[in-house]
Amino acid sequence: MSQDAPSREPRDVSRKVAQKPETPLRGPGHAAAQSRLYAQRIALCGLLTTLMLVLGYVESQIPLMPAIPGVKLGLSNAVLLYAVYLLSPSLTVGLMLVKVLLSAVLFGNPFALAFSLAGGALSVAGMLLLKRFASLGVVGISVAGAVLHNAGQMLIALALVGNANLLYYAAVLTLVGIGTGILTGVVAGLVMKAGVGMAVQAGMKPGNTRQGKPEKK
Amino acid sequence: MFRKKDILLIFLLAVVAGGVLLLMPLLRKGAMPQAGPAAGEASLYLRYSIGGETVATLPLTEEKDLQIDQGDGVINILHLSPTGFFMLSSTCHNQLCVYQGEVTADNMDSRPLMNMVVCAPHRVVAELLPAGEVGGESP
Repeated sequence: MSQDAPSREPRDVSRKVAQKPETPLRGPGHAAAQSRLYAQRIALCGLLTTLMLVLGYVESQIPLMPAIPGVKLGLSNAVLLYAVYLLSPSLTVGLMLVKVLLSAVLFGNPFALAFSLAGGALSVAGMLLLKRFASLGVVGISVAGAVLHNAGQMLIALALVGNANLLYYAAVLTLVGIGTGILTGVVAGLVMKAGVGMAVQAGMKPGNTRQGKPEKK
Repeated sequence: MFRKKDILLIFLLAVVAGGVLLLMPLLRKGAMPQAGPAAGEASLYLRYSIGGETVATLPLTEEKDLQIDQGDGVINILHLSPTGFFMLSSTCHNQLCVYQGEVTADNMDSRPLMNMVVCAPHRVVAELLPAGEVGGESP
């Protein structure tokens, strides 16, 4: 691998994807090109939603630590992290909402919906804000997202059972969240570094897809 | 992939969480009344609450099952013994309370949920209390 091979974060391309697809031509091809790009974006969002649902279901079937209720790997957080970096904030929030609602309809119930919604909303809001205003890397943002997800769920639990001793449990979940956040952050970072260009194709120039690809000497 | 600020954030979160884990058992012990149980009384008690409201505080003197029935099929069954208790069954959807295991005087300071078994869907919290911690409550 060349010395110039970028070992840093995936390039922040969210603005590129968030903006309207670039259509240099004005004319008969303009509308067609634009609708093709929108279709690609819809397909990407569908794919990411499906990924989150499948990963969420699979990990719900794996009891990670039975003595610590509610502990999960949070693999779907890796997909959301991907969206935080590669899609616009509104699309990311939309993905989270669709995932939470579909999870509740397919696998859960209104009770699980409240937990997922609180965790997901706090997590996505935190990750979007930290990405915009703090110079954290993908692992740092992932850890923050995981810990905030746990915090959102703990707030609901506190409201339901009304016992302040749950703070101890929240501290345990925070430590677990640090571990799972590092794991999902590394996974999301590797996926983005590999240059998975689906989001890129939905509105970016090919030159911007070469994230992490070693340059020739 | 890692930046310096990432490591700083992870360190800060770990310190805060670790601090809570270390301090809360100490605070619990500090707040515990030191008077021991009177002769003939149980050394351990079960206090259970629903939605933050204490329903009852019971002495753990014998092996038995305690059914907490809130109606509409919302039922938890606790198995009580002189050494502690565990959630025998629950009609909740996720069964997390059943997997939380037994709470005893020996393990209550090292469990993630300390002296509690929590069934969040049913808003039930069961706590194991040493006799000295029951304090002025009327068991």
